[in-house]
Amino acid sequence: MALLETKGVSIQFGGLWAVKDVDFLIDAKEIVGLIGPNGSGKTTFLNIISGVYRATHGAVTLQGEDISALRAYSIFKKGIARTYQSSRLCWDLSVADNILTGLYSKQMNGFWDVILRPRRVDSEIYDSLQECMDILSYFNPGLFKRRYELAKNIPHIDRRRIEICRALVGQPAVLLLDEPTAGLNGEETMQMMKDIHKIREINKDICIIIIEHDMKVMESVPERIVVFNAGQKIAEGIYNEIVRDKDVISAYLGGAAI
Amino acid sequence: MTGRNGRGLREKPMTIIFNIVIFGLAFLMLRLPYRYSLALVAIVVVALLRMERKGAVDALFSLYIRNRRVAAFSALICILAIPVLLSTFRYQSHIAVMALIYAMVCLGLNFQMGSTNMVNFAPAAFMGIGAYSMAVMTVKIGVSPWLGMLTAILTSAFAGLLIGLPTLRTKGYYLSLVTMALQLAFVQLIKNMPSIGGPNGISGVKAFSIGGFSLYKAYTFFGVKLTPHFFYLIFCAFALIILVYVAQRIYISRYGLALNNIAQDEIAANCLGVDVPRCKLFAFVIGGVYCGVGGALYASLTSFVGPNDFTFARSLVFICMVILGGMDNPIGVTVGAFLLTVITEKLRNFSDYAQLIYAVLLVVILIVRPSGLIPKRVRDYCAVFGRELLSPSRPDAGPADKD
Repeated sequence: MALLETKGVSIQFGGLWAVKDVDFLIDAKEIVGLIGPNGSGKTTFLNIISGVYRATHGAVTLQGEDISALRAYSIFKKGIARTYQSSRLCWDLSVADNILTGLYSKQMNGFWDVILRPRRVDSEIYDSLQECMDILSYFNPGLFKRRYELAKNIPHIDRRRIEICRALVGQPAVLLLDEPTAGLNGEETMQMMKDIHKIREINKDICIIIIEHDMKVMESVPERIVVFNAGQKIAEGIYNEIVRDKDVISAYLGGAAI
Repeated sequence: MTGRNGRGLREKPMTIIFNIVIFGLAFLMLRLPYRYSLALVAIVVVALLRMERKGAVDALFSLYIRNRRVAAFSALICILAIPVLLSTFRYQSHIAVMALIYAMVCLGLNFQMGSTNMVNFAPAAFMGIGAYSMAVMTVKIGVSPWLGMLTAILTSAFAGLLIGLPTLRTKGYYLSLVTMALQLAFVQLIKNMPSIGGPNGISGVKAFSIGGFSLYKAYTFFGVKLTPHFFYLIFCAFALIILVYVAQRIYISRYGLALNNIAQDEIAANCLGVDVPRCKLFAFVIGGVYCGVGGALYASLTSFVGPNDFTFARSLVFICMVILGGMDNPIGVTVGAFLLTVITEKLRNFSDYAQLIYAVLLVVILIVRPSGLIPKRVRDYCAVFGRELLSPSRPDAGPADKD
């Protein structure tokens, strides 16, 4: 049984089928890349999986359980976390607070715990914070010192890291990365590729779906690539097959890419 | 560690002195004639702006957190000293009580406006619901004011829930419009309900009493006739302390964090496991509770409630207080409520120009510092819990840094 599976997932916006009949499987410990031209439905597909949109028809199942009707926060609790194409951090919150938000649903303290705050609640918050800092330092040790700085004062690549940490602290089963290298220069892209490998060191069973336009990243990071065009899946396979696929070349890569 | 202890010895008297200065300023603002009082307000505002820029306010907060026992104890004495110093000044005591009550309502509004960025234009209506519940329970039904207050809290919280439900589907300006409509409808509703006094309101709301000892009554001690506000002022001050404390705890908890995340980006918050509708309702309900407490205390203070006390204009004043004081900072909101109440009351002498001066002041504050006098703070959990974070020292995490 696949970890995450979509069957005939489609979504309609007005007259447009942004995603149409996509069947997709991913297993634990797998990294899958999604490529395709702009507007081909990659991000929309992630939005359906993470519960931002509800599929018009089709089903998304996580470990055999249908999650397509759940709201985004329940889907996160089931173990699907994500990042965004352009960082969606809370700019006026500190780095620590941004990551701590990822543990919101894991913390057990209720309203009266918060008001009366017995010692165990303090410890819980403290331990959560320590956990966040451990993960953050793993990606960039320098950020530990900057933990009380506002997210808006943090450089772009570190914002991306914070976003990944925020998604990772809850120990999700599936991580959806939406263009993690968007807006990064060549060297930073290399660092980000290393960071994506670090994700697996932190969480060995995690499976990652990654949207990316940079074919260098696609060559080295994912084990399998799925190609989207006009809302449909047009090809699937390992990198070497994909770059030779005629449909993929005409739809996305163009003749000169190889 | 020795350095820290050495510093601690000098810090304790410093904390006490700062408390005396802060509460002394508050007392002088209340007590002095309007010219000096307003000049003092202006000086305090400018000083706060400068201190905030230099980080002195942060330093003061951390000094208080480090010496929290001394700070709390000396603040308590100062708070008790103010009613004693004002014990024969009826009007000034009245202003002080009003400032405390307004601060409560502003704290309630702050959960929606400051934390969650849902500008609620109906805090006066929530307060009115609380005040009217209190009046109906004590005058029409004739139960004890304590039960009246409990009812006020419950009805305001329930009103928060009811208003919260339709606003879940709206955002931003549209949400504000819904609350404006509620505010206007509330006043019309009250005016057109003869059973609760209609435009004439309800008079004769009972005062709180503890075991036959009335909290709002002119007592005579050693030949000195105290104002009736003497005990009520202390009572309201303690109520406000509890409310600020609760607000501060919510701010530093995961709920405060969730509300801030919703303010910034609802979709991102939702995808991080934050139950957005529930958190928004929480903000409305807890805000309703605060407004309910404020309303009940207000009704008991004035012993009269009428529709004109809870108008849209009053709501705008509450919003101004939150903006002036500092969004999403309970201490800032309290300071804002106090300053604006004092300003409004002291400008009574020129009621012709009061609105103008008031407006100019706000415009200036908004230009100089849109985030308010004491804006929201970065949550420093370790200072609050008195524990240091361990610098993560994984073998491959690079050089471990200490700070």
